[in-house]
Amino acid sequence: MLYRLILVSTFVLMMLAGTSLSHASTVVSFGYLANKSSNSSYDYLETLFPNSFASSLSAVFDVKIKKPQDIDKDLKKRFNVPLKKEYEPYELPPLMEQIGTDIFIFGSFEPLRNSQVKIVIHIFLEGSNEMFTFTNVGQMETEIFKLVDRISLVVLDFLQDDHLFKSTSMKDGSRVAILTNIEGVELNNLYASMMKLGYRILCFQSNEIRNYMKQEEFHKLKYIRSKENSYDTISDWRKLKLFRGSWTGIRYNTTVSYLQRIYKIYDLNYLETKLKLLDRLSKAFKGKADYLFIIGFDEKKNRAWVRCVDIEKKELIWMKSTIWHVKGEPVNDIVSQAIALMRKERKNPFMGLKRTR
Amino acid sequence: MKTSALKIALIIGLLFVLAGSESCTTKKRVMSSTQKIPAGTSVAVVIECPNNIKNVVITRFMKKNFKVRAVNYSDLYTMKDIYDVKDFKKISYNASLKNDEKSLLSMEKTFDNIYKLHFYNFEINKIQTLKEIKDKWNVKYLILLDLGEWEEVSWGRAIDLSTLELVWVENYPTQYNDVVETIIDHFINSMMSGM
Repeated sequence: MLYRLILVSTFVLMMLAGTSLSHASTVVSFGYLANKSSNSSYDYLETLFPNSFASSLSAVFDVKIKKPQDIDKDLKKRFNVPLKKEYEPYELPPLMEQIGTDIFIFGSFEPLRNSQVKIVIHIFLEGSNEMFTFTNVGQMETEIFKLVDRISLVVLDFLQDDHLFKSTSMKDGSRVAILTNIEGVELNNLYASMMKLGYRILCFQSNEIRNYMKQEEFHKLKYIRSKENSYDTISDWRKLKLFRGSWTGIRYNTTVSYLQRIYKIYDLNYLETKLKLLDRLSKAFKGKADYLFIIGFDEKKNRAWVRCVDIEKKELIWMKSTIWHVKGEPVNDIVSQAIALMRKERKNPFMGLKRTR
Repeated sequence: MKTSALKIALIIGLLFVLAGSESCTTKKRVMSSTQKIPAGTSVAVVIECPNNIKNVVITRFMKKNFKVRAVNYSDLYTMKDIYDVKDFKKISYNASLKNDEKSLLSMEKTFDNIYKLHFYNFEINKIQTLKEIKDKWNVKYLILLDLGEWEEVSWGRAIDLSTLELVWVENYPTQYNDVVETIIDHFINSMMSGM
């Protein structure tokens, strides 16, 4: 246990030393938050929101911040292109290089009824090809600063704490379908831990003696797309060459049209396909399945990643990319830590801080 | 000099002991139950072992008046003997479209998504099958068992097919004097008493 503690502490120290946000040379850039409404009187929020998030973040972390108006000026000067309000995911890697940033945060907002505003934020990390998207809704006028703090906190958690995200917790006594890459005795440890923590475990993967999921295959499940919140890799449809024409034969054309259909269903429209699947899952349990809890362990059970989806709302509600084993039986320890972390109330670190808007 | 060498040896020894004690934690008894399974209920017992051992297992259940349905007991062969059945899922998972279409690397994410959906759908299909088993064969509980040798861990699980919930799990470290009958009796008592 001691050697493991030393190992974990050393790693944590190394991680802290290398954490992108702990170092002043880390560059966090903010793009615009595009106004999705037709009302141009809200356009001023396109820069006000990102500037507010930038100020909040720089108030608690020693990072170099680039605001949208500065980036726009720089891009025009050096590349003769403006900073666009919206970007397709495949446009991000070259943009990151042009801006010279480690993290790029951008998004959109849409005023709703009852003076509410819906804000969608995308966070793209340089070199990872991964994008985290989340949505938050709040009051436009009376609670605008609370909303800014809430969103800044989500950004902060994600960047600082191993991709931590939490919009809500799994309710006590709820019915949970668990997917994992362990089996037998260890899987029983996982179920027993969850049952003791007050959850009702659904018959999902628990109905087999063995688990044939290969380690490397299972980890694909950590990328997850849901209605409003997603953590996924980006793809580039322009790189897919599915040419056909009068010079190609019937057989070739048939193959290409099948591949096009596959690409459309399982990449371009994957969200739609996934939502249908969640409906099917809910129906299989007669509408009585509350959450899908996915936990992927590494081979030695030293650490795990966790994702949690609200099945009825079809929403990713909670995730963390690394939870380390510290003491005791690994599976039980990691699960207990994960649930404790999920249930923990997060304090607002921006409260009382002086910021410029 | 001698003292420092002794200290190092002690520290190394301590680390080995600690490492050993950690592996022992997985061999502790673990039990959790949300409901007692009463005698007289109809059950389907799934276990991977030769047929003569299977007979011993179902006999113990029948002695406690459980109605054991002929799931996993209606064949002269076991799953281990039939390669196609045992490895069918493995083969389907391992087959990679990527290898056949090297020119389509940009479709990698598409293939990953198909794989993920296949996995979800497989689990959903199993639920549908279990519902059919419950309705057609009147099975109340599905019981899964795995027997471990001495110093290993035997484990069991029970699923209530009417609610599709896991109602009992246990890891039982197999004792020196345990035989198949005593392990199965232990599991039956545990699921009946919830303790």
